[in-house]
Amino acid sequence: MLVVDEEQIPLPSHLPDWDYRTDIRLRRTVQVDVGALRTGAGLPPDAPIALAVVWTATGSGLRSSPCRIPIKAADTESVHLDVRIAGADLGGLLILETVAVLDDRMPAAAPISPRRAGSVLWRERCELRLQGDAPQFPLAIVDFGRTSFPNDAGWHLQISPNLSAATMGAMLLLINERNQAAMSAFKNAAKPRAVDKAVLSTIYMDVARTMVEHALRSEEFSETADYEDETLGATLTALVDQLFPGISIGDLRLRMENAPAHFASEIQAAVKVFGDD
Amino acid sequence: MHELYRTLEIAELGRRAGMTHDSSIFAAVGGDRAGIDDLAALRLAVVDLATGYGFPAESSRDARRDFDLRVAETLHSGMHMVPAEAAAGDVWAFLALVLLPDVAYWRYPRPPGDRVLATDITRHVFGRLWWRAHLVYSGGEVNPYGALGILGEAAFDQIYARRKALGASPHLVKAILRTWADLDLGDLDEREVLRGFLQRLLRLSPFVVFDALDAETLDAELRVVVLETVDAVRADRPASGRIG
Repeated sequence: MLVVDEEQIPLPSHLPDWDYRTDIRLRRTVQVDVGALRTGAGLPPDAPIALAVVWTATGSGLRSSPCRIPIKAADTESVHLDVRIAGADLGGLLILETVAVLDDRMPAAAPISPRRAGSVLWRERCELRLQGDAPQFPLAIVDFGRTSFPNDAGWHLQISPNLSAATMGAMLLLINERNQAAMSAFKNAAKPRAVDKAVLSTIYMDVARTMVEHALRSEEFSETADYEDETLGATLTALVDQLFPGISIGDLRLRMENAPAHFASEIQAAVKVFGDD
Repeated sequence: MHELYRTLEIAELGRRAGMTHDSSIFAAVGGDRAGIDDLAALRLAVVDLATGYGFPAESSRDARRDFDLRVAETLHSGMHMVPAEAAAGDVWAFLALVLLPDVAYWRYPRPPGDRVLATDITRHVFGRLWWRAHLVYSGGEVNPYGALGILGEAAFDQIYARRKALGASPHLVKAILRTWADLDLGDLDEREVLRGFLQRLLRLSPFVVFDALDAETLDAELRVVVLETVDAVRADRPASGRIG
């Protein structure tokens, strides 16, 4: 079971909203028939056995065991496994194995029996894909009290004047960790409450407005500019095309300059502020 | 960039070093972004270190080996990166091509692409060293990077090349190094024994989960495996070496 906010849910196949600041917490209970395990492997009744969880992350290339429990019972034992895996160690596909192993060397074991410590007596494997394929907006949580931004602001979009720079290096949405409403909205983004939806929609609209106005104020932003893929210029061109299809950049620039308040409302309409999604 | 940089003098590469590049990107979400000051400090630290080992002049193999050990510790302790970040090849390409091109091409003159582009981090001039430091790091020790020097580069590469089976687990890598450090090989060929030891561990890995053992039990099991290896090597090549 995956543990999210102390709520247990069956392990899903993937976590599209995961990022490496999110630790993975897992729980399961395993009924171990210790006697059958030993007998089946031809081991003596006193053979030491341990149950362990071993994870491998394809993204980081790391493997580790966050939990191992020696089993002392002679017949059956119910073992509760509760593990927390640091998100900073993970990425890609998380392969989770629950294993029962021989917990010490048994040099005198029968020839057909396992003798080496760590010999697998039972194993079960499951997988969890940790990252979705959808592009993510560059985002960071910061304390505005330690920046030049106003302490009570909710967010700030940093955006570079260099439209030829890579988008993911030229733009960053900062969320003020002092602002509870904004923090809660992003924390609950996977399962937003009504208030979170409203806050997210407002931020989305404001970010779109900032990006559109940033583009239109840039003298080099035009239909004839040839931006390479994944540059800020290409991203802004795509956004303007999406929000204002068929309208020339020159027209948009005039609207922004001559009627800025009305233009701001046009952007609200284009992003469907407080719409269903 | 790499094709051009391969042909340039170290001094010219130094003039081209920078803290930013139009193509550089950050992960969408994650930790604090490295600022210009952080990058400048890192460049200064690595250039200082390299200078102590002959940079920018040509240097000996021993000097480059010692530089690797020191820079591994500097990168791992100074960059404040987590494995999820250090697994991104782009980070290492930025270091070798933008921040430290002079040091990168000094360490590997006219290198093949993977040494600087990080198409394979296990071969990257800096990336492989960060990971080497990460795999041996022991936070509770007086010298947390003390195990870095136990194996030479070629020997460590034998573990790292078996990344999936052996080199993925800091727990297992540290146990291999402890076992190796306690071994007296006498007159046996170190590389041959190490290769045999790792091959045995590789063969056992489908049936034995080393990561499920505590350190003491793991060390005892590895000790048995390495002694089996020594016996096998000795049987093939009778010698008078003493096993510790």
